[in-house]
Amino acid sequence: MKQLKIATDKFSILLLASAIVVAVVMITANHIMLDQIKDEAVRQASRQQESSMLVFWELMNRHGRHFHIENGKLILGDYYTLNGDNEMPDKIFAMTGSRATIFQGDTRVATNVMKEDGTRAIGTRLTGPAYDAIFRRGDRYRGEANILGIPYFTAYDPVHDLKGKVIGALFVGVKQSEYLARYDRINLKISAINISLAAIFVICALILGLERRRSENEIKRQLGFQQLLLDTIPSPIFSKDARGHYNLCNKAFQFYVGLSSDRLIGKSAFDLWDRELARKYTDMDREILETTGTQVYESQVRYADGTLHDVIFHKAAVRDDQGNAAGLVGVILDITERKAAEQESRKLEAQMHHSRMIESMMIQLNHDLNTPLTPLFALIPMIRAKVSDPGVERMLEICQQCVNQIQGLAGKALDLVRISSNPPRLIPVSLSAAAESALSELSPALAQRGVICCNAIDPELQVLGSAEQLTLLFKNLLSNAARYAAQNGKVIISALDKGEEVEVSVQDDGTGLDHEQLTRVFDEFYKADTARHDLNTQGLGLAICRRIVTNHEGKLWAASPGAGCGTTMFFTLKRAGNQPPATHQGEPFQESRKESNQI
Amino acid sequence: MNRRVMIVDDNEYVRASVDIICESARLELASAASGPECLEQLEAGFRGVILMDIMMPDMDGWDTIREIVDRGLYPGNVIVMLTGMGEPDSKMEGLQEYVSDYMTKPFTPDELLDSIEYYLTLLNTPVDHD
Repeated sequence: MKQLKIATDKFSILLLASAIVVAVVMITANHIMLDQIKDEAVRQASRQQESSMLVFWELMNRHGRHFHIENGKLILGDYYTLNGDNEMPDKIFAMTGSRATIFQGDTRVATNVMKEDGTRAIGTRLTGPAYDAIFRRGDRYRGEANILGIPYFTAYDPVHDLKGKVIGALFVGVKQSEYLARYDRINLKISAINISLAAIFVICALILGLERRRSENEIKRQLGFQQLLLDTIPSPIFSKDARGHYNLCNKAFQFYVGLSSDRLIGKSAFDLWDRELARKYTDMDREILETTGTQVYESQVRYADGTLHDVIFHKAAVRDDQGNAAGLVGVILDITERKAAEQESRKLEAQMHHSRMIESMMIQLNHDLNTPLTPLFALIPMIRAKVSDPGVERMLEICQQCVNQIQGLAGKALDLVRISSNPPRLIPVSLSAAAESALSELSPALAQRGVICCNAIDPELQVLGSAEQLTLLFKNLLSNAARYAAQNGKVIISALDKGEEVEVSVQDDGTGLDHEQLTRVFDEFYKADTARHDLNTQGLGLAICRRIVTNHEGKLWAASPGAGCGTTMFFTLKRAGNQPPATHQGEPFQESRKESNQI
Repeated sequence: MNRRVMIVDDNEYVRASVDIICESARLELASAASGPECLEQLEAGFRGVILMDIMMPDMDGWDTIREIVDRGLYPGNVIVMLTGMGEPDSKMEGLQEYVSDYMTKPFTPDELLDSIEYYLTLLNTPVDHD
């Protein structure tokens, strides 16, 4: 841009100077020509005076050849008195156009040279160089002379008496102003033309200069716009000349190289990168310079900050009017994030595939387990009904419990896999309805031990969740409560609306948990009830609960005042809607959270 | 009085158990080891409660139901699906209306008999077509 301005300034000055020089030369040439014309005019005037003088002498000779002074008057021949004889000068003027004078001594005695008042200059005297020539040197005079203050082209000849003494003079001449009037008119015209031409030259130069400046501003504006556009593009963009030197780049490219534009321009790939990389770039450059179209190739580049980026180079050759390669332009498209995203996507897909595979395997396993369990499940009760031996009855009971254990394990393992591999879509669901659904399924198990269960959740309360998973959550918690509540005890389900979230509790009055049990109760396959070796439990229920609560972005923890004092399981869920929190639910159970294990 | 039951399951022990249970309840049991066998018996005139396993090789429970419906063999029958813990899959689309109940494996003799008796009663109840 600066270079452009300097070039333009130089051009403007040169243009103006050239115009002035041309004008000056033209004026000088004309001036010389006019001088020559004037010289010629002067010479012509001299020649005219010479011939006028000859005519004057001829007229004189008609009256006589000799001059003498007689009675104070100048006499030609024997008697022709020249004093006052203005007819002679007037004849000369009529014949030649020159004024004429007859001097007696140095005094005009007959003349048609006029004074300022319009009268003939009779009696006036000759002065100046003509006087010197005539009366001092006795010589004739040719040239310019002032007569009564007016410049003339003149010719003076001395008039001698018979003795050769200068007794007077003859004069012919024309006023310079009159004679040169035509020359002056030509001079004026040519000068006017000169000045006009010079002015036109200078004005043209100024207009050209201004036009050039306007073009320069327009180009500057366009270049500025282009640079802004390039700088706004986040991908590195560059161009190189035919020798492989960078001659343009955008900000993203400067960031990539770690050098400012000023330090980058003019550098080659070998100045910026190690030899091997530079050789690769220049090889690719050479290839595109020799071919047409766009060159696209994937590569890796190391940014100035040391980070390695996956990129795609797009390059094209720039050609001049003759089709020769004048350089190339290039764009570097950073695909690091895209590649990382693709990799991440592939990883996620692999994980999803793995999850789906495990899930389908678990479904198959569950089916394959349940199929042989079906005859056992169906036949053992029938056999038990037919035996009366208590020993055999006990053995069959053990078999029955083992079958129950396998069946429960298969079901719970499938539950765990399914809720782990399919994060639920969280929509507003009724919390009370989910608890009620679980209660209705668990009611036979609760009734078996005389446990009364109370669902104290507000039927209007809605949470963000999956109804299916929340029902499963309640089923697992209630199943534990049914198992560990006191005989004929009580289980209370309640929910505390805390505004953005809801804290749900399932409280029983059963065996309770000690500190160690509280910390381990959510582990897979952990059974708090080790002393009883309960074959109807699998140790997966709370692990499932934990996974479901995690799926719902909530927390799960257990609290118990100690062994024999009952257990309360707490979990939080996101509340649906923006209703003001109701504080009446769940309050009676707050004191039970003396010891807690939060997940 | 129709007391006919058909068990469709590829596992012979499941079929044998159902046979024993049904025998104890004096039900008339037909046994099919696959979907084609089931269709064969239906073509031969079987009408009653069909206990249909879902997961069977080649032609599964849903394929069999589709075929029963397509061949016009459904009227006069009640279908009870025997399922594992499998999720409802896309194959059941449009066929659910032909399934009266789902029974999760494993099941106790009482659960099975309760269900069979219930649907036999329905089958034996004359439908009022007015």
